[in-house]
Amino acid sequence: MSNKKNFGYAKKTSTSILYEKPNEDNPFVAESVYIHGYNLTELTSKKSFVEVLILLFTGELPNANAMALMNALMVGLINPGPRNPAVRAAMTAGISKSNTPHLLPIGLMVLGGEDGGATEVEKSMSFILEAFSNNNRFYSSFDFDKTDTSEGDFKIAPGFGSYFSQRCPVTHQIAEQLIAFPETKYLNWLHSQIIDSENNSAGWLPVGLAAATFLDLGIKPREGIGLYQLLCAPGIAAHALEQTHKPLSSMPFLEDSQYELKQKR
Amino acid sequence: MNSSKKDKNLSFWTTRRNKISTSVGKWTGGEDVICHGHLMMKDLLGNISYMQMLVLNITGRLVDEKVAKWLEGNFIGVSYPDVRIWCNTIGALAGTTKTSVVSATVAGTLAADSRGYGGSQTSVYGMKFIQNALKQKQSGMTLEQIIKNANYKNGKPVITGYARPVARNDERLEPHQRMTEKLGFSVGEHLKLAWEINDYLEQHHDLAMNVAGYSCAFLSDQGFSPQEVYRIKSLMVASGVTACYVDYYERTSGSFLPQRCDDIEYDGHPIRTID
Repeated sequence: MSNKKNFGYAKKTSTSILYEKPNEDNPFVAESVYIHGYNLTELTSKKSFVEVLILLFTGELPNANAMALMNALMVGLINPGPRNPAVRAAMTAGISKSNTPHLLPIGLMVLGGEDGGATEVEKSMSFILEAFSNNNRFYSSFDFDKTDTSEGDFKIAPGFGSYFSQRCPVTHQIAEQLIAFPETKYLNWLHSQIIDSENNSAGWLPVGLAAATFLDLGIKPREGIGLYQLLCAPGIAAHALEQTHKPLSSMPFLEDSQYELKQKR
Repeated sequence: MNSSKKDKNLSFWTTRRNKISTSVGKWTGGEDVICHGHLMMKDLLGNISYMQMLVLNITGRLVDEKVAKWLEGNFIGVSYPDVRIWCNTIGALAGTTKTSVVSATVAGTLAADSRGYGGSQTSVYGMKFIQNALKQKQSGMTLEQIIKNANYKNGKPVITGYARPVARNDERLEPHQRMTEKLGFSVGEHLKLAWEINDYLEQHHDLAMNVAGYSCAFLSDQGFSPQEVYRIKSLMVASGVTACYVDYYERTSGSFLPQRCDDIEYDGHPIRTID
C-alpha cells in the first residue's frame, strides 16, 4: 500500500435529490423520504407523476404549462413503434424467449445510440443551445442544402433531418401541438426555421423534438439522455412483452434466398 | 409532407427490404458457417483459438496466434475479481438482488464502457493519441510540442495511458512487457515512442505510462485501429464482474455493503412543503 497515492475519494456518496430521514432505532430504515425537499407522501397525495418527474430532473415542481407540455411530449414519445430499432430489438428478444426482465434494458441499450437515439438528444440539445445563443447564424448552423437520400437518410443537424426520405409527418404533427404551449421559445424558434426553409425533405425528428422540449422545460443536455430513454420505455416494454406470448415462428426469419453473401474483396 | 410521391427516392429502402446483403458471414443449416471467407466447422473450429475467432469476427482478419495470445493475456490483466472496482460493484449488486448471471455480467460490462477506466473505450483515446503522436513525430515535432498539444488539468497533461486513478505503479505493466518479450515481439515504432513519452512525462509531470498506454502502443504496432481495439476489448472486464456476481449471489440478499440512511450525504434543498 506504500505506493498508493491519495486521490481524495469521498467518504460518502452524496446526492441533492433525495433525503431519507433515518428511524431513530434502526438507521438502515427511513422514517420519511424527501425528494428535493418535499415529503414523498405529500407528493403522492398532491402531485401527478409528470410533476414529480420534472421535479426529479430539474429540482423544482413545474407550473401548469410546463406540466402539460411534458405530459404531451410523454404521450408523443410513449411508443416509438414496432419498426423502431430499439423496439424491434426488444421484440426480437421477446419472441426468442429471452428472460423477461431483459427485454426493456435490451431496448433501452439500443435506444442509446448516436443516430436516432438518446445520445443524439444530448447532441441536439447542445446544438440548439449554441445555435439559439447566436440567432443570426442559425441558418448556417443548419445544413439546409442537404436533400440527397440516395444513400439513406441525412441530418441537417443533430435531431433534424429526413425520415425515410421525407419529413416525418407524425413528429411534425406533434411539434405543431407542442409549439402551441406557452413558454416554448426553443420549440417555436426551431419550428419556424424548419417551416420557413425550402428543404421539404428535412425536419423534426423525434430526438430533436425531445431535445427542444427538454430545453424549454429547463432540463440539461446530459439529463436529456436518460429522460428520453425513460419516455420511450413504455412502448418498448409493451411491444416486447406482447411478443413473449407468441411462438418463436411468429416473427419472420429470412430464407437463404433472401440472404446474399458477397465475396470478400 | 410537402414533397410529392414522385419526388421521393425510395430505392435505398426498397432494395434493402426483406433482403440481407453482407460479406461478414452466413450460416447454411446442416452444412457450415462462413466467417469472413473462412469455413467455421471445416477450417476454424479446433484449429484457431477463441481470441483469433473473436478478432476475425470483429476485424475480418485472421491474426497470428501469438497476437491472439497477447490479447488473451491483456484480457486476463483486467479480470480483477475485486468488488471495489466499479464494474465489479455492479456485478455484486446484481448478485445480491439475484438477477440472472447474464444481466449481471452485461450490466458490469456496460459500466466499464467508460471514458475513465475499463480498457475498451479508453483504448480509443489512447490509440488515437499514440498513432497521432507518431505522425506528429514523423512530421518533425518534438516530444515537448506533442505533449503541449494535449489537454491539461491542474498543470498536468491529460493523456489516456499515462496516469492511473488508484495507484501510481501499475502492476500490470511489467507482466505485459514480459509477455511481449516471451512471445517474441520486437519493440515497434509506437511502443518506442510510448516509452519516450513516458520518460518525458516522468521527468516533467510526475506521470508514468500505465498498461493502457503500453497496450495501445503495442496494438498500434500490430496494425489495429482505435475502433477495432474498442470492439475487441468490449467484453474484457466480463469475467471479473461475473466473479463478484457469483460471490454475492451465494450470500444473503442485500448483504453487499448495506448502507444506513446517513451513509448517503444529502446536500439538496432543505425540507419544504407544497404551496
